Amino acid sequence: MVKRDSIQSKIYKSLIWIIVLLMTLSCLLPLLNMIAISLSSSNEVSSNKVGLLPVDLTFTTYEKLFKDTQFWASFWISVCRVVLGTALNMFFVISMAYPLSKSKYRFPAREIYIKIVIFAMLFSGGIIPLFMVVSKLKMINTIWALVLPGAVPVFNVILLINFFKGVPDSLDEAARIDGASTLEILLKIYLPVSLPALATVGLFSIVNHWNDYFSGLLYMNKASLYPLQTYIQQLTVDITQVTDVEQLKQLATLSNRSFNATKIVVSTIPLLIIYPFLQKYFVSGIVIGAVKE
Amino acid sequence: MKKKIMKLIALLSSATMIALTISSCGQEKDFTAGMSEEEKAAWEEAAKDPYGKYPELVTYTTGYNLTNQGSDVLANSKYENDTPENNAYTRYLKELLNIQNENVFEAVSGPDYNQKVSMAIASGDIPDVMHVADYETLVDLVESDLIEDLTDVYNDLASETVKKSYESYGEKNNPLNTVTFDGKIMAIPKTQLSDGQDFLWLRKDWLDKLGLQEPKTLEDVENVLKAFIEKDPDGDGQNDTMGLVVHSEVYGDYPNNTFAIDNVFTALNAYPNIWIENEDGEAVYGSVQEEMKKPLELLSRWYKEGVIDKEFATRTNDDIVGLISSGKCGAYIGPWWSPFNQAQTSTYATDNAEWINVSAPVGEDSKINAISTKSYAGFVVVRKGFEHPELAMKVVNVNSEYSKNDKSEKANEIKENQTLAYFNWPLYCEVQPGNNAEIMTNNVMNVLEGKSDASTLTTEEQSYLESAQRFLKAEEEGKKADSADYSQYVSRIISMKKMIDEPANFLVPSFFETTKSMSTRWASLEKMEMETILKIITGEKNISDFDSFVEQWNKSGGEVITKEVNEAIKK
Repeated sequence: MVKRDSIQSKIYKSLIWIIVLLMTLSCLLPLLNMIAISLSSSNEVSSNKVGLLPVDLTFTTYEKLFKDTQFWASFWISVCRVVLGTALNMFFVISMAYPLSKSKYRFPAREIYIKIVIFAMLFSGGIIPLFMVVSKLKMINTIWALVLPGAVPVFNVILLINFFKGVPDSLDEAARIDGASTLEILLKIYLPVSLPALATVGLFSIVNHWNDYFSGLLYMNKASLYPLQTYIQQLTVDITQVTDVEQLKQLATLSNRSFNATKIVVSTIPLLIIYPFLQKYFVSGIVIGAVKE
Repeated sequence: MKKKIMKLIALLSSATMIALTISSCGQEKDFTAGMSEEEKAAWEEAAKDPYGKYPELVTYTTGYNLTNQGSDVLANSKYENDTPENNAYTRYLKELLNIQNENVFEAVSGPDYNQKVSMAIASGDIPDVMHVADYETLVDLVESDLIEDLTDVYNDLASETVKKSYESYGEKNNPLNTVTFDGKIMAIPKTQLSDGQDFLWLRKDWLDKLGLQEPKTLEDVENVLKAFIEKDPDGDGQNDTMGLVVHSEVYGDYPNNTFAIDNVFTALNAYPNIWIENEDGEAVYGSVQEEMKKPLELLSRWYKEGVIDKEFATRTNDDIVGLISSGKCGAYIGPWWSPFNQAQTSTYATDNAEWINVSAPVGEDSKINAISTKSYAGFVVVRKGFEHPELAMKVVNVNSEYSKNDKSEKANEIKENQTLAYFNWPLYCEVQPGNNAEIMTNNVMNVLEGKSDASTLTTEEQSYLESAQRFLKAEEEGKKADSADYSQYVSRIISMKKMIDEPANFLVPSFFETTKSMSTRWASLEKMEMETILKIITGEKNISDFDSFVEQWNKSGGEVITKEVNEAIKK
């Protein structure tokens, strides 16, 4: 019996290993390929000779990138956006999720608010009305257009509501008996025990803000105001269909894949740096040892 | 997908637009109010002269088309700090006409720019002068009465070059026809040069090595391709070369879709993907005609025998370029400017490849059967109520005529910026005769052959001449020329010469635009078409299945659309 089980579990384990390994590789390989392309000479790249290791190693694209002023300007805009946008997101998400996590006996209007939130998640006005609102509020070409329209990420709110619901009520009661106000309970009890959820929600916000190119394209009317991903997106727009003889000149340097790869690689670095710092919160348990029953 | 979204945006925008126009029709002030008679006269004079300079700086709002090269091309040049509002072109226009653009929006030309236009229209706030890329948007603007009638402006101010250029497209294909609504010229059309015919591009060094002649007919082509596969043209002792690469879409967008093989179809009198006239004078869709069977049968045999790339259906553009760049393939079909493609520049630099364009495969009369492109590619419109509507025409005049003959210091910046190619002219509207590329090549050739003097060339032609000279010099010294010079020389001189010497038969499609039902049904019809074509070529379906495809195509909306197209043509 014992032996059979262990064989079975070995098979299970190795299966899981293989699946996890495959998933990891499918994430890792494209990135490695991108790095290899960015370090190879453009002739080798266009011959599709570059796999996971650079061919004909060169750092020219990186040197060139340091001189590209627009890249760094856009980089800075993106950094500002992430800092401001994530701060706003966290503020709104927390202050919305906390009351909504309470039962309807303590917060009678809860059901209405939840319905509004769900409705807003499922239906939106569409691009044109959204653009017109932003434009009439004079936010076009300002950083506010990038952070305010998405200031309340509904999905994250629901995520956090559910997490707050899982916090034992006895914690809340104990604090109340000790004379803590509602705000104090939120700040001193709920937030500290919710670090994993906050890290998740925060990471979602950061990644969203960093990776979003579309709002930059929509709300920024000057190329010099584009955030980083918009700047990269417009470089890689597919123009295989030439409509115009003047575009010939562009075609001459069109296949500059290694330089574009460099930009993409450098643009992922900030996220790669942030991940390890947040990771430790994912690992730690939820409310281990907070209540004794 | 993106196209669909854009369509949707355009549709939505037109609806909102109408609502907004009503509210935004403000009172226009007369800008001459409070001026002395002399001042008024000076303004009037400037407005009537094709190149008249305004007495005071006129600032106009506009949308600006950028190229997708990235501003890094300007790094380390003296244009490093140039912006879309202050660059070689805008400075030149300011000095010449005393006008300055203020960009309400900027975007890379193409979908990004078009989206900005849609948004501007939707928010009811269009710039004074702007470029509009597609016809539907122009119709929207006209129907909602947002743009100025430019008939007088055109008649009074268009320069001779501009007027003659439009006429050069022939009465039927004149770009002005497209912008004329109820006899009124509502926009200035940007011309689209005739891109000529597609050629078969072959590696001459391979042909020579195998002792082959330049092919002409489909049979010749087949023999050359088979030799390329079997006889080891790259001489590495390995059986690793292939025949013809084929675009995964097979045909369409003639002739701009490099690697598409429309010519194989047209050589057998099939004209896929366009609207053609049948014997009864009615417009029909080329892809569903009986003539398609022959080329499809041929291609499916070629596929079976490996004459065309076995994996073509799944290859991306980059994959194909990779095959050619790595020296595995020496034959593809592409337009005259193919030497700009990295497939050629990299083999030239690393593999000593010599590319030539061959008029093949030819039709019955030993000429390539080609398809004409439409004569316009975008429009310049002026906001209704803008005080200086003639300004648009003046910019187009300068762009199309004046700047090209300006040999003074002022124009140097423009010449240099042409090679940098990050900024475009404001309004993005050049008007050229349809065969302008040929004309330019002829002029440059005459200078190269010593028949005329370099000073007779326009500034643009001069830059081509200089490229050609640099290329020839490098070759003479046994060195590799710069890849940009290679591309300019081989396309502008070698390949263009063949285009002039070996003219093709051109079929003018009877309809270029879209109809109402197309917006909802065309995408699925095209998908069905492409699937059937690919399946027949790869042998998954039999040629006899073509008939049932045609039937199904007609049933799923093809018939309705054909009717609509015929109605639209008669209008």
